[in-house]
Amino acid sequence: MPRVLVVFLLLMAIGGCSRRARDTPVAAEHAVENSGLVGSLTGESLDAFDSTFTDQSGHSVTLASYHGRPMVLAMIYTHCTSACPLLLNSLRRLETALPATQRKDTWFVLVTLDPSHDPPDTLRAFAASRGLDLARWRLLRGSREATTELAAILGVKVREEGDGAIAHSSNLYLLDSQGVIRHTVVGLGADPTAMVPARAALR
Amino acid sequence: MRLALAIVLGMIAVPVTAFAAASPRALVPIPAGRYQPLYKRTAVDSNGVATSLPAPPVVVPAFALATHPVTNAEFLEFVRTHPQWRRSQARRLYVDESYLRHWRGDLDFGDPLVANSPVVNVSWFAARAYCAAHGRQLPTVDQWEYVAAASETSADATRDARFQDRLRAWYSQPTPARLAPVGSTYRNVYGVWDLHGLVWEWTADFSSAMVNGESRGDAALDKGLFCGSGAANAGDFRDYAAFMRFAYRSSLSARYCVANLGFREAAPASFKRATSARR
Repeated sequence: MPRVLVVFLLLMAIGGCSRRARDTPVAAEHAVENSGLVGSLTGESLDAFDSTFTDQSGHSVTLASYHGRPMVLAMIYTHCTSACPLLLNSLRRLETALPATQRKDTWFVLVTLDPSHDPPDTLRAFAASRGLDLARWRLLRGSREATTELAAILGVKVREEGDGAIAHSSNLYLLDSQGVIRHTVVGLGADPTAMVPARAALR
Repeated sequence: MRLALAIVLGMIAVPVTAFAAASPRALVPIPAGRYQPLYKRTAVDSNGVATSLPAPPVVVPAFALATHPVTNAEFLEFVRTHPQWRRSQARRLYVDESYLRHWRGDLDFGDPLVANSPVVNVSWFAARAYCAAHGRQLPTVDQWEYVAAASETSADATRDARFQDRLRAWYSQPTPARLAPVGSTYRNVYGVWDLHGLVWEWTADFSSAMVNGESRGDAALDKGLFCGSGAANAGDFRDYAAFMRFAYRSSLSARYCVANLGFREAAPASFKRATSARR
């Protein structure tokens, strides 16, 4: 219960009556981060989660299929116009910031939050249009159940907005080569390159 | 994996009458209706100034809801037949270290006086697996809030001062060391017990209540919430109670096991016939 209470108080603390709206989605980054919730995942192995996903080439995979290399994992959807492009930018900044040898030895995995609108073809076209190097990028689609469950495991909050948009947390997760979460970057405001030392510490 | 399999089986099993017998807890039909959600719609003008407007009422289609929260005895039956959800077996990915901490052992909830009390210290994953094992599911936030707006005599008691007073009294009480049995608070017009006054309850989409760090207008949403209920309408306890629930849900993670958080089962409206036919 203390955690719940703390977050509740936090919510009260940030809940002052500002009449000022966020001008852009980026403003979300200035919100207080509840990294304590997500951070508690550090050290947890995702191995128990063995739902099957389909990658951008139509291959069936599980997250364990990528064991052997560390993985940077995020959940997005391709027709997202607000947070996802920023989240993708964060990922690419991280990709660029990694030393070349580590960059080549890291999976960058995007799991769609909108499986009904992101079939493999769409994911493949998205990867191509964004110039994602498929030597290390993977774009996955799961069932609705698997998507919900992965989001719940990661602490990615999701709300369908009714207009086709999906509000969601914008977090990055670093998994080691055995699927154990080693580092989390919470929210768009956090510096994604904070993950560089954590990646360097793996192997 | 077993959870996913259970869920898939659960979905298949929805129309199958035989599965209803696996859970002793009856479901009652809840007619379609609408309720006024807490959250506000935020309109932003060209100067970036936001105004909070009430959201339109949410239409809730007919469904079925368990008359009572799931009890310790009922959850014991579940872990008996689903060993992967026993306290010592449950994967840490799906439950935190408080999972069933009030129990004495894997198949022993200890204090016999809590047999019929709501099971607590269960994660969202565990609650969901329990429901799926009976071909059921957790209610959504909308479903839960809609039914929870009812008193003993009215489907919408949000303007009933005496009912709201009772909620306020409960909200201000600490959770007792030993929870009362289910069916000990009140039965609302739908025949559903204990929606307030015993424990908080998991909902399928609890995590749609967002605190921060999310895309789109959520920070503004939270501010709108707090302005609307915490300050501007502080005297409106209906909003205050709903705000408390919103804040509580938004503070949860799916692995959390909390000493005053239980759950109850729900099912599509079509399920109702199968269960009530057996009674």
